[in-house]
Amino acid sequence: MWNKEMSVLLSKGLIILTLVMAVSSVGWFSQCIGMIEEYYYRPFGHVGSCVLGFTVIAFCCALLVFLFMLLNNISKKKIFVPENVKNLRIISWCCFAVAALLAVWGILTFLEIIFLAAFIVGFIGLILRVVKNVFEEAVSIKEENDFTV
Amino acid sequence: MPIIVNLDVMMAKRKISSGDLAEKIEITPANLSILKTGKAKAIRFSTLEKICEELDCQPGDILEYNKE
Repeated sequence: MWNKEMSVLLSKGLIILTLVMAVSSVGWFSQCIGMIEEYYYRPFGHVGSCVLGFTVIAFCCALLVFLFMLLNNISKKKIFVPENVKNLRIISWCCFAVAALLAVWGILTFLEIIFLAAFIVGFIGLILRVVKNVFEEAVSIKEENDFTV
Repeated sequence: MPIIVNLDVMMAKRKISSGDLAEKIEITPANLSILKTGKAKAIRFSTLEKICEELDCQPGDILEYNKE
């Protein structure tokens, strides 16, 4: 029977799978960049593009690790705790960093798809920031409730 | 917080232990400790009423406002 624990387990599994994909992408990313560069303007050169791409992957991996930590706390029934607020804050800043890097890449390569990706990631970061603000308020309400005698 | 809880002073005057008071006013010793140490963010009227009844005092004897 499907329940909350299984749902959390599925989310954890998906995060680990995405993390494995992100880490393994380091292997073929350089070739992928090379293929793109055959058809598009290369403002940074191959090495510059690879550094930019790997930085994006590094931020994605950090984001996934903190997402896993958030989910881990939720599975331990630690929901409205300051640690989760910190995790959400880091996740949202990772999104903004990825969006900024993609936007720079998009501006210099004139690739619309990268612009679109930057906009989507930035928008997700914004939503997560609002969720973080909600969590921050919820933590203070919970604290007040816990310390009401 | 500018509200000071003088519960320990009142308890000493009435010569009552924390365990006894917690049992009589029907709250956990942990919650009474939160109240005594000034960590409490709020107090229910029902709790205050029970404390006043048990210690035979006024709310002002337990709570004090001190301008910071």
